Amino acid sequence: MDVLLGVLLGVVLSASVFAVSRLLAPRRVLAPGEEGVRAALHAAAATLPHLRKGLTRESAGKAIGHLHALTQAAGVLIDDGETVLAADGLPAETRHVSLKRDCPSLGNALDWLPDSSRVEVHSGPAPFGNTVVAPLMVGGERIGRLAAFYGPERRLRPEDTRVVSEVAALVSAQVELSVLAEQEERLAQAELRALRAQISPHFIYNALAAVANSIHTKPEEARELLTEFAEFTRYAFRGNRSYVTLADELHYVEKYLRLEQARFGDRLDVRVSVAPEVLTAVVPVLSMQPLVENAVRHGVEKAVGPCRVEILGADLDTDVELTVRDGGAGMDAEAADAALHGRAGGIGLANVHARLQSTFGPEYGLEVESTPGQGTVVKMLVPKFRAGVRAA
Amino acid sequence: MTLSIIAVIAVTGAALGIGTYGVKLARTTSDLFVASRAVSPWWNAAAISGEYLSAASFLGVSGLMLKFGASALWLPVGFTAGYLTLLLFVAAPLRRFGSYTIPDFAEARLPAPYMRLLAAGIVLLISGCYLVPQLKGAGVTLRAITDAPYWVGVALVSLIVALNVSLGGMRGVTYVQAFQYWVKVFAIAFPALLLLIHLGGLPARAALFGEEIPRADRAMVIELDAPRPVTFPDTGETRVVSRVELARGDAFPVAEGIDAQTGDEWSRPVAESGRGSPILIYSLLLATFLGTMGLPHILVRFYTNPDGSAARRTTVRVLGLLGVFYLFPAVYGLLGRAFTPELYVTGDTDSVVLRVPAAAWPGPMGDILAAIVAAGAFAAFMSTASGLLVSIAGTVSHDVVPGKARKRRTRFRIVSVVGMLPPALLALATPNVDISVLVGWAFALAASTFCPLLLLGVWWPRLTASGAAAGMLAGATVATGMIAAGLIGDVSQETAAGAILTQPAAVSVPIAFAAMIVISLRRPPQNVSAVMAALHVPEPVSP
Repeated sequence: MDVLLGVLLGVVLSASVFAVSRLLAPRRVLAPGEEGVRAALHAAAATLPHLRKGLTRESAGKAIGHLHALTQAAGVLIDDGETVLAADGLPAETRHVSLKRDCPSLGNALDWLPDSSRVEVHSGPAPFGNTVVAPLMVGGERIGRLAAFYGPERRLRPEDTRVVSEVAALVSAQVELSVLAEQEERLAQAELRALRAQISPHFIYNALAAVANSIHTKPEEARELLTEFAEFTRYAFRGNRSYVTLADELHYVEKYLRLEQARFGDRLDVRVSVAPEVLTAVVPVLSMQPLVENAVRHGVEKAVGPCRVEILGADLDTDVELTVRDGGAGMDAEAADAALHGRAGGIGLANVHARLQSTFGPEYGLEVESTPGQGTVVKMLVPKFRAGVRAA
Repeated sequence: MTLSIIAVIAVTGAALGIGTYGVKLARTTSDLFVASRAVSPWWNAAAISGEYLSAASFLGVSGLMLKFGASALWLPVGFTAGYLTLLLFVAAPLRRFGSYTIPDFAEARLPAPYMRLLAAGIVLLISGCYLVPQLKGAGVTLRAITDAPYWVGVALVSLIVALNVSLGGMRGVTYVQAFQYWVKVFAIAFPALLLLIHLGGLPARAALFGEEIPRADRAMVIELDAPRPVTFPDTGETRVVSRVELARGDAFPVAEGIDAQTGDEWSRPVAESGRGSPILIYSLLLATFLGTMGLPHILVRFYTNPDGSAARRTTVRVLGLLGVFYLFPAVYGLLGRAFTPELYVTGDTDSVVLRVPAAAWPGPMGDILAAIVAAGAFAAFMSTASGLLVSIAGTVSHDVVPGKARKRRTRFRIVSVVGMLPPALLALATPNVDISVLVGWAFALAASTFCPLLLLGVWWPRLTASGAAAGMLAGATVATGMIAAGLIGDVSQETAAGAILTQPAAVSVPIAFAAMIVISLRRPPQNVSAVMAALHVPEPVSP
């Protein structure tokens, strides 16, 4: 009895939650015309995410069904000017196969399709019949064709031509967006390359000089330094990874600092205190190193006497805060702001800030606190987890 | 008495101190790096065990064993075995995925804006549910060592934990939590071993294993804090009394909700009906097997592992460490039946661990051991309560109320004080529910919401957001509905029906899985190949 009561109560509760959710989002009843508009909009919207990945056999294959619904032709086909990328519909009466399944062998059968940069109407052989062909244009260049077949029986209407050319325009616009995204990606890569190129010739010269200094007196140490140098440069210049774990980044910051210490000796005092819980966080490659390099350059190179550089990593539950502090000359707030936005000559800080913000959103990134004579503190805030951001 | 109070104050002070100063000590500070070295699986496993061993493990298991007999020992079996399912199905994929909390996982796996909010809501529900027994443990412990009323302990510990978390102490520092594990193991094992050596083995009483019910070995008077109904097993009558006088050889009367069992019945792990009935045992095992992976404060700890295989290694070590700990509550249960049977009269069985040392070894040595146990109990619920409160405050300030990352600190502080109120009030409202039963509810909730989400989310590509949401809602409502029905209906655990209402997992878990699968099948899933690859493709060998 009591079990029944409990189960019943649970079921009633879940059913009422379900009912409320249904009530809050009632199914709208549309007039037939509106229903058509809705269907067309749905089909159009459904193609968007696929085509935004560029015009490939895979993306075209996923979008073709929706394009078919949108044109309301008997069959549709997309090619890249030479080979067929995807096709759908049009059961061929003579051969009892659909256009889709026969896709690879269609190449020769479709030689009759007009090859032009305008929308053309053509009457094709038996199963295809009346056909509208529209070019897919990206940046003024033709990258492929969209063909809609209406069968031999049906006469073409002016709307058909218009619909097909509009659908072709929709596909073109999406593919164009994908090209833009690709360019943006390339720009980000270029910026990273610029940052790598910025690892200053000075540093390389100084590191090699430090090795040369000790090569006779302490050959063991010189050998170690050269190994560190080789490993660091390989990390800094290796092109293919965008994200690394904080542990990795700190590991190479360590190698970098070892080289700087060989050069400055006792003058450079480095303190590191990082909570081990945050080492698994994922950060863009070369995000800490520029901060540390800045600290060394401003804190030690421009000062006389010993100078301390501190690297702190704090666990803020859902976020990680990394702090790089130097005891150098410091700067005023305006100069700090300029450095963060790339108006102060170098692109180090600005580049890291921009990459952090584009990866994690506007609430993350760098913060610079500095007062003249008091040194500079750069704080970097990153989340512990962000979907899709993984260390390579 | 005084010794225990001193020990408790020392442990609390140490916990607060570690929170403030230990954070600095626990960091690798060095002139040059050893910082990029990850936490080893042993440290991590000890930290997870330290966070996991709560008042339910430290006090509740022995209390429930005293009350219902050996059938209560299924509870630690489930508590430990939960890590086996975690190891087999979830630990490595989730670590590879990199998600830090369940709301993170839910949103990344099933991209729908409401998933994060829904998962966050359930995190709050489970954490709140798990906090109640910790506070109850505080009330019981303080009452046992100072005779203060129950509410004093609840209020005091709520206040200390809330203030401490909001001021930034007791954070989830791995080395501190790992240290806590060893404190807890010492506090439960050392007195148990010394007592067994002192007694020369288990006392050979017929009430333990034979055909006897517990009988007074001398004349005694037991005072109750209020007039209560107690049942006298010799005559079978039930009377409301505030004071019980027993002559030598009289059977101990039992408080409401307890059965007078012979030693034979008591020591049998499975019975025809009631607490030892197979349906309740299966329900409990299901809840603990599947619920462990859904505990928010535990899953967070796996983030510290550097990769999937380290997560697996950590989980195996957790199984071992917990196994060692759970040997000892059974010792206190057995000794309690021999030395503190007056708890059957008062019904305050949750305090058996605290009362056994002084009863079994009268004199200063017993007092010292009692102080050690009391300190361990305090450490147990302080650390678990802090971990839970941190996850409540973190969830609210990160997932529920969106806003600037740098303003989050303030919100975290406010929420950690406010968030303590509902569990504290619930703990005050349920003084008569066993700690282990309360914990069982948290496990049942986790098993019928996050377990299907994690298992299906990791292993079934067809899971959709609407399916997951429906399944979690169905599981949560069925589980809470049945628990509420059991509470309001005031059912007896002796019937199978009452049993399933106190532990609803056997009903709610299948309902949650079914709802998730059926509703997911109605629509095709989104493109999940990238997410599935992130979950399952092993990490490349690091350079």
